[in-house]
Amino acid sequence: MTTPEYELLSKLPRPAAGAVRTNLPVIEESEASGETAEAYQYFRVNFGRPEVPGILKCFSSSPAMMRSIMQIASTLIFSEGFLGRRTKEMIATYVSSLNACPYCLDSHGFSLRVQGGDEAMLQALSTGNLSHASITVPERYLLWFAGKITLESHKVEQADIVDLRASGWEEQQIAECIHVTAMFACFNRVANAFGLPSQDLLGLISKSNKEESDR
Amino acid sequence: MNTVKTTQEPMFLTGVEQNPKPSPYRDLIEAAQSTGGDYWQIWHLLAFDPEAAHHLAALSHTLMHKPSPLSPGLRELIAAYTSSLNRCDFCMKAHAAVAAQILGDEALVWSVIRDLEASALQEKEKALLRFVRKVTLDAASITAVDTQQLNQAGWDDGSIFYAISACALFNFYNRWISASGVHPVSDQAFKGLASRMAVKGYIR
Repeated sequence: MTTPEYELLSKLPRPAAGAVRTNLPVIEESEASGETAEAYQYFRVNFGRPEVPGILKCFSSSPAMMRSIMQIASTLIFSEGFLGRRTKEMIATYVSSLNACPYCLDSHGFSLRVQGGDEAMLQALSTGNLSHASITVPERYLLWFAGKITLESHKVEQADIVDLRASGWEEQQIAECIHVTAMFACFNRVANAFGLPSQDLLGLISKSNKEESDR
Repeated sequence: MNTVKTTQEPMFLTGVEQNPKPSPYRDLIEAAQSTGGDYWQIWHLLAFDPEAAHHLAALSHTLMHKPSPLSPGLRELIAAYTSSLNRCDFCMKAHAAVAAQILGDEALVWSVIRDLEASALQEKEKALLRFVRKVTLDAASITAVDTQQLNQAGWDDGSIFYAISACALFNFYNRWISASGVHPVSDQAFKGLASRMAVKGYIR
C-alpha cells in the first residue's frame, strides 16, 4: 500500500528528526531491535514513508499491537471505502481538533491537504467552523454527527441517523463515519497521553508552496 | 433461514443489522437467532466489515487478554470504568461482568463504577484509574507529571502503556457501540457471554 501523502513526504526536504521527549519512553528507530525493528521495517516498506510516525512508536513495546494498529489504519483510514479518503480525512481533522490533539490534527490536516482539501477547509475544520463555504451541506451534517459521537456519544439516537439519511448519506457511509470517528477517539487519546507534539507536516506544505511561488 | 424473534430492540443501523457478511460473527448471529436467545449486537458491526473486525479482535486480544504487566482483571476494570465515564451501558455491563468473573468480586467492580474514591480498591489501583479518567475526559492536559506520579505510586512504564491503550481502545468501542445503537442485553446474557470472554479472550 502506498499513500500519496507519504510519497510526498519522502520527497520533501526534511530537517533531521531529533528524538521527541514524550511522557512515556518510546523506542526510537535507531535503538530498535528484534520484533520492534521488524515492525518498523514493515511500516517503512508497506506505507512508503521513510520515518516511522510517533503514533506507532507509542506501541513500540508491543510489536504485535503495533502491527494491528497498522492494519486497522490501512484498512479503515488510508483506503477508499464507502467514504472517500478526503471525507475520512475531513472527519479525522475535525475530530482531532475537538479532542485538542496537536499531533493528529497536524498529520491528518496534512493528509486532508494532500487529498484535495484546501487551506480554507483545513482552517474551518481546525476551528470548528462547519458552516464555512468550503464544506458542503451534507458534509456539514456528517461532521456535526462526528462531533456528537466525539463529545456525547451516549446521546446519539435513531433520529440522528434518519436526518443523515435524509441529507443523502447511505447507511454504509454513516456506519463508516461512526467507525472512523470512534477510531480517532482512541488514536487522539494515545497521542495526547504520550504527549506527542505536532510533527509540523503542514509547515512542510506551506514551505514547499512558498518555494514553488518564489521560483 | 428460520429466525426466532428475540426481544432485542433493533440497532440504529438497520441495514447493517440485516446484512451480515460471511464471517465468524455471522455464524454467531445466526446460531443465536435460531435459538432465540439474547446476543451481543456488536457482532453485527463486526460482520459488517469482517476484515477490520479481524484486526480489531487481534488488537483487543493482545491488549486485553494476553500477558501484560497489568493483570487481566485490572485491564477489564479499566474497560468497565472507562465505559461508565462515557456512559456506554453495553460496554460497561459487559466488561463489568468480565472483570467480576476474573476478580471473583462483583461488588468491588460495581463499587468502583459507582464511586471510585469510596470503593475498597487499593490506593495504588485508584491512582491508575484516576489517570484513566483523565485519559478519557481530558487527555490533552496530560503531562509527564502524570506519568511520573504513577511511577511514584509503583506503576512501571509498561503498566502505564497498557492502561493508556486499554482506556483508549474502550473510548473507541464506547463510541462505536453507542452511535450504532447497540443495545444492552439481560444481566444473565451479559454474564453468560462474559464468562466466555474472561476465559478465551476476544478472538472468535
